[in-house]
Amino acid sequence: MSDLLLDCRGITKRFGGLVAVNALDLQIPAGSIHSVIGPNGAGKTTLFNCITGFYHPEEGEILLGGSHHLEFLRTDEITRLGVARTYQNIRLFPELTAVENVMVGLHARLESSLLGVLFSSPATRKEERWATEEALRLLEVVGLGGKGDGLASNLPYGDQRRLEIARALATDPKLLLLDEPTAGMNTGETASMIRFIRRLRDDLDITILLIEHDMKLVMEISELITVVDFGQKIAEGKPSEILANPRVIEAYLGRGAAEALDVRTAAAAPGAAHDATSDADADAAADTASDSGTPPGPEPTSSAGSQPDPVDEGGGSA
Amino acid sequence: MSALLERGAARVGLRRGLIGGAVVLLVSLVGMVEAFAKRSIVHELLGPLGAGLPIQLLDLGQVAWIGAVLLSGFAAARELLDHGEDRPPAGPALLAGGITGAVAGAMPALLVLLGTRFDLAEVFDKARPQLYALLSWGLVERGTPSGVDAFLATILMCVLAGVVGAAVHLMPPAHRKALGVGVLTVLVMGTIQDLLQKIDFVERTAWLSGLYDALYTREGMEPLGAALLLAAASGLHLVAPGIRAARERRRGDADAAGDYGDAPPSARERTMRWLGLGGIALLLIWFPFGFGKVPADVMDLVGIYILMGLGLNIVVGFAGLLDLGYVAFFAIGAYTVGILTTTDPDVGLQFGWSLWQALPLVVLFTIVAGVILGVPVLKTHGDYLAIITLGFGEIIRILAISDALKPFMGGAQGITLIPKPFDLPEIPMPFAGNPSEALIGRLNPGIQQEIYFPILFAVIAAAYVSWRLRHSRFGRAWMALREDENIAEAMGINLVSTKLLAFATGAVFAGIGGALFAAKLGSIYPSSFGLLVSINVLVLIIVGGMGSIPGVFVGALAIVGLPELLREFEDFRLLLYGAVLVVMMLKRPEGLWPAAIVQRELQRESDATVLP
Repeated sequence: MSDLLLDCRGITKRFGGLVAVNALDLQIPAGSIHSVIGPNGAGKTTLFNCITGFYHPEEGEILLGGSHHLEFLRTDEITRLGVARTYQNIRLFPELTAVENVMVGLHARLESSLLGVLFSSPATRKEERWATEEALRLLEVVGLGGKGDGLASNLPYGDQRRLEIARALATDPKLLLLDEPTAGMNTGETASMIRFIRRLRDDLDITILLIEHDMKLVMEISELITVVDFGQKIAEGKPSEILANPRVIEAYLGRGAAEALDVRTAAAAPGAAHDATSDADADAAADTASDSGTPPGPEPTSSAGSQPDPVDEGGGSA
Repeated sequence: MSALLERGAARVGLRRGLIGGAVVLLVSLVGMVEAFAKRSIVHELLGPLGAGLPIQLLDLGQVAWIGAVLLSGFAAARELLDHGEDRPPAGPALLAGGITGAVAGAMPALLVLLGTRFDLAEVFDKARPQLYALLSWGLVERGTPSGVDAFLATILMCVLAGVVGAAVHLMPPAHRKALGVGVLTVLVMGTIQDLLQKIDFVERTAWLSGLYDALYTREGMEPLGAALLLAAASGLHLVAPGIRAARERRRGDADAAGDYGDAPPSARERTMRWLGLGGIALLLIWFPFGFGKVPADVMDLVGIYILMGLGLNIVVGFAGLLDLGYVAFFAIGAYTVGILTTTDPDVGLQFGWSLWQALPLVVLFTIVAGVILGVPVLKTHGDYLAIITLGFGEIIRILAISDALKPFMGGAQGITLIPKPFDLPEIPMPFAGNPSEALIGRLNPGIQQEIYFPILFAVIAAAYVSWRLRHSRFGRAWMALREDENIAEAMGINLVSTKLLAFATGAVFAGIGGALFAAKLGSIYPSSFGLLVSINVLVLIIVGGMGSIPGVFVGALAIVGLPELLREFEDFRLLLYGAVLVVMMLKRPEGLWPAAIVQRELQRESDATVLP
């Protein structure tokens, strides 16, 4: 566990009476591809917002690279430490061109001074040339070569997603948070996105944390999956373990389905289904649930039930 | 079909007529017709034919209200034929125009009829006999006592205008445009007569003053001159597309091999661009010598507003921080200079500095003021930011007018006796008496325009700074901030320093503008620093094009320069602002000279429609 890139310990974020994220632990080893899944309103995006400093959690700590406490930092400081993200509903700078969008992402890596800019010093000129070239290169990387001059808002939907990734890459991240990167994409586009995310990790050595609803993609790409419901972690493990976990099935399909499936999976592979939740990280409620086959005692959140999380949208526009 | 169209003509005519008539009533009752009537455009419009007629000359007031009817007729014809067939039938269109004119004309006619019987001035203070005379071609006074002939004359004139408007719509588009350009040229040339009279250069040059005398009488243009001018402008506009097309063809051949679109400019184009810039620079340097005091005074004011516009363009146009109290920085600049330099023993600090000694402090103070305003509003956006900045602007003005600070800032009496920035001796003219004297007059710093050059220099410097910042990481950070503050922060942009830099830069530009303003006028009063200045600057940015540096220049010329030429506008400035802004937002929301990206995108869209 020495090379943990991100270590979230017991983070809790409340909105009034609603506990959006509840004492959540999340460990992400450097160089992994890790997914967070869960039903709508489970608190996934809120978790992202806590990690990137849009929200500050009330409790718990978030450690980057073992030393930086992200929970006290501003968004821009966190970005400079190497955490970048994309957004569930694409949020580009619509009135800037694609190249300019990426160049904004390079902002933190440029260091021209005000005087250097005003007097067009050689260092500034060199840096601007580098920034333009780097932005064009990043557009090539995401497959948008030659489309740099158009306004971001005029790009087709899939290209906007790619541009958002290029812009995130421009900040030179160690950890990249992707919030539903394939939402609204067809199977072909999704497949190429899967390849692309793998390449980011393999070639650029970027650790990936993603939120995704497309189970096929999640199962195919993830090395580790964390399942969140009502702000709490209900399971964590390899894709095959998650698929067999009754609590996960319950969260997604409802109690009846879980019980029906539980009987079958227990019969097919006794014991296997319970491995994931008996992890040290899994909370006690999960253990009781999987051992007895009955629902967990107290509901972890307020009585809101399946009401969607109002802050799960929009990545901090509040 | 024809009956259908005619019924349509009646309906369209009625609607357009009501709108047009309402506009006529509005411009009449707010006093625009009367005020504009003082500006003659064409003298003795009908020449000897019109000797017996009441219409002696065409003035701007007539243009305003008859023009409204004419445009209504034009709009009626267009509306009728829009959903008609390909070949527009002339009859129904002209009918619609006539009905429009009749309906529109009935309103001023009724106003005249009513106004001569009852005293409307208690409600509308501009409803005076002078107005009725203007609306009825003087027939109110000279016609029958019943006023029926005046009533009919007004309506008849409007019917005529409506039909003419509709007929214009029936012309082929190219001819229609040419005619429009011609009429506009005559109107503009007629309107700026007073200005031309004041241009020293015209007076000093024999052939130009000859031309002036040929074109103008003491009151408006010569009818023949106006006709020739109209013909010349229209003709030029008709042949211009041919010339342009030929040039495009030549350029097209040269470009055919090269890249499409954003190819870097060729060496020749670059040379042409530099030559163009050099020409403009020479023209601007020559301006106060050639044009004399009055036009240069106008240019001074335009220049000061350009300075403020460039500053506010950074705050609002680049960074998207709506600042309605921008005048505060202008005031701080002006008062800093006033307090430090005035020779009045009763106010100020008695430092007796020169403008040049005060300027560094102006820069320092406005930076501090920008930060002081910036810090509390860091967390606010949009409407809230606008209200807070509005308050800030008022605070500064009220401080300036307050009794407590009277020993320093002079209270309502302001600060006077601010010395001129230069005290140059008269430079002996090395080449007096030859043609160059006509060109530059006597090279006398007593041109009273010494402040013109510091303003010119400051404008160029501010434009350069704006341009450098716009294309740097700071400019990109501002625009990211404008587009989406949260995401900008997630790009590693420090919101605090970025916002404060925008406020401070904008404040410095306005402060220098205020300093030059104080030095130019030699005296400052709190009343010069009201909310209207902030609004003027904001409007000029919007009209020029948000975030566009050339747009600031165009906007300042349009919003500050034009009203200076048309003093009659002064009272109706806000009314016209409203109208101009509504029209701009509907027809040209990107502004007169939009920022390059917007332009490029529009270009791309129109290309896309042409090339499948």
